[in-house]
Amino acid sequence: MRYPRRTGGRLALTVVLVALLVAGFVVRLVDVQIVRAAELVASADDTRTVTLTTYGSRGSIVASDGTVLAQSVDRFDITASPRQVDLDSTEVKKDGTWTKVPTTEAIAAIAQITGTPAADILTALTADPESQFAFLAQGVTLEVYRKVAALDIPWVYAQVHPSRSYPLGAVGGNLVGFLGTDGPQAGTEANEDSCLAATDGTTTYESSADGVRLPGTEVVDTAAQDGGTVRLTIDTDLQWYAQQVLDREARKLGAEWAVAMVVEVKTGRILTAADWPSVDPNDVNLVQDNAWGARSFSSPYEPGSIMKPVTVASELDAGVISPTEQWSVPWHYTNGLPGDHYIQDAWWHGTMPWTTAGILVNSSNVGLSQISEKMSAAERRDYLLKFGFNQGTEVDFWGESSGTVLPLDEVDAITNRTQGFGQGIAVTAAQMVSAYQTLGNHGVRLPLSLVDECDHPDGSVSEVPDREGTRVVSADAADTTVAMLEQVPTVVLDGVAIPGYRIAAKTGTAEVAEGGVYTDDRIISVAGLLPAEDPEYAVVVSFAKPDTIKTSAGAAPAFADLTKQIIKEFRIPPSTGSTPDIPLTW
Amino acid sequence: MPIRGTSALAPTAPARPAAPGPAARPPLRVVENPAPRRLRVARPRLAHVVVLVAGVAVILLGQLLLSIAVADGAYRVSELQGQQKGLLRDQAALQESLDALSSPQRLSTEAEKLGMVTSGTLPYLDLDTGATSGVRIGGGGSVRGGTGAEIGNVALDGAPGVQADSGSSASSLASGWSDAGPSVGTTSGVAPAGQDAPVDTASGGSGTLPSPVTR
Repeated sequence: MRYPRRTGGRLALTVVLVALLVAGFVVRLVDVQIVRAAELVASADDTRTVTLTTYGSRGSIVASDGTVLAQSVDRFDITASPRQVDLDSTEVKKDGTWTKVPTTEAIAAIAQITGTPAADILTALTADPESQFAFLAQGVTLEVYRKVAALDIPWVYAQVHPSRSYPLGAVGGNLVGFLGTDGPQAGTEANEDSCLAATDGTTTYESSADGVRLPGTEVVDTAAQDGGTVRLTIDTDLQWYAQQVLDREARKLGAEWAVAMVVEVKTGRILTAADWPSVDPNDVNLVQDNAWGARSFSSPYEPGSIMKPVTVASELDAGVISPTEQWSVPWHYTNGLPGDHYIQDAWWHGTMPWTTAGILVNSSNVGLSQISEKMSAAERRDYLLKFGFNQGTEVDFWGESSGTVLPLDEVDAITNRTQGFGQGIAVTAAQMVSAYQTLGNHGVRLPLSLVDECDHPDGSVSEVPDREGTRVVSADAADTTVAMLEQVPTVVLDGVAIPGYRIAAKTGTAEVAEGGVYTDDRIISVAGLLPAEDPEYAVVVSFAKPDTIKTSAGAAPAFADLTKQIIKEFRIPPSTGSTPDIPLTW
Repeated sequence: MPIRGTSALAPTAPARPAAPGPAARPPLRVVENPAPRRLRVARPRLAHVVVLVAGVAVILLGQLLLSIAVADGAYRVSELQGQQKGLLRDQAALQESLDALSSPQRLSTEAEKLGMVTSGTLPYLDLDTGATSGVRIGGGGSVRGGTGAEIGNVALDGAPGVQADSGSSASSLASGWSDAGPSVGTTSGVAPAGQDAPVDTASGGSGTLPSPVTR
């Protein structure tokens, strides 16, 4: 085909231009799609994509009946942008219309709601006028936050501040523990952190200009995991009652501190571990920092005579003594002791014709020394270790002490005898109540437990305690010892007996050593079991360094009130049978 | 030439008669005669184009409407999620204050304010023998034993009934500025700390106990 020359020229030009244009586009396309692809995609993602950290919430701590002892709550920080603040006037939304009010009025309104002094707010706003961020109030409740938000002040902002709340306050506070700014600081919060702790997750999504998530762009990279719920063995009502009684009695006695524990004999579950002073995890600074932990686990003391039943049960089990064995017991004793050392009873008496039961019920130190001589120090130490002394309990509580049973090479002739009546040996209330649990459970010691289980959000359960028992002494030795203790409330200790109920109890008045020397300070205790015919509950109450009454009688009212409360709360029917008649004298 | 069959044939059909030796003929004759034929052929083409363009337009419009709907849904979801967050917060705050209000400290304080005393041990009736057992002992008086001893609970600070002046009310929350001033409106000591609590104006001033009405 032939074309005129001009037409042909135009066509060629067009073809060349189109070809150039296409070539240009191709180059650009290659550049955008291949050469700079990664860089451009990244920069696009940067502008559109938002990566969000999603927070799992820390698990709760609940009591055995589900009462919440600790939970995660949202608090709010009220913040401001000082750069936006005009100190003369602020435009706020009042009754639906924007109105100018003096800034001082806005500050006063915030101050009134949050409780932060107006002067402090003004300081925060003016400290750095160019700043974009300043705290006006921290950790306020939803109610306060909503009131502040309702003021509609343009330069006021808020952010969520995850926090921890303890609805029962000081009830179980020593057991629950608390969180500091850097994490768990004490108690179960620290002990069970692995169960309670949440795992943060991340979510990415593409956002529109006004912050709305574009549909279908949300990708959960890592799901946030809430923490598990720790279920304690604690009975909150009994725990509260025990703390209330300790508080009342410790004030009367002028004691420095006090502990009370109640353990279920047949399970080893700790129903109550009360401490006084009681820390309120909501505000730990209300008590001294030495009361922030649980003294029932962390403060070892020389228990005194409440140790005697352990000695008697051990020797009955070993077969070296019998319940009605006849002893001649003077009040002052130097037999086999070095130098001018002596052991004597708490009161003067002539040489008494006591049986083993008589020595235990009358709490004779001299008699116990004579009993102790029947067993070697090594054998006694083995028994003490089997009872759980000199080692932490299975609870493994935060700051728990293992107490002290001296190694054999440090046991001298005096300690060899005094250990039998609870001096020269240091125990915690938890260890002591565990020993009584063993006696009450017919000689089988069960591991103490404070946590029933940890329930994870996925339905799995962990931290289930081992409830396998170990035999420490024979059932006969344990039951005989408990039967002897039944006579304590009826014969020697006033105010503990409860009509219709059989209660085994033992008192203890221990001398407190300071710097290796015994002082006139005492730790007074009552420990016991009820109902004595088939014990269900082991109870230990101790007051440290009382002023007004320095004998164990001072601890009796608290023990009596606690046992009465146990009878009421757990609906224990009156005892059957009568107290075994083991002769105390011969 | 009558056109039958599918539209796919249409473009090729008129091209055939024109193909053999067009160069030998004068161009004017050829243009005049086939013109009406070509017009007849072009008519269905126009309809096709209209259908095609309309189809594309409808599809585009549909897609636009769909994405508007989806985007609108996203806003709705966002709004509802915000609402849900607020309601969950309400629930948590109310639960928190309920937990504190059911603490043993407050229950015992309130019980004693109502004149209640601690109970004694219980007597028991054996249904088989009809015999009663147990002795009623203890009971009466305060758990505090008159010493004023109290196991603290900071969580109760500001809770109704415990502090005399709760200083807040549900109504002051809703209206912001109007109640933010020093004169707080009618307060109810019974209303929980949360904002959505109904205000029981009948129960009087703050600190009033929820005493039962005998009918």
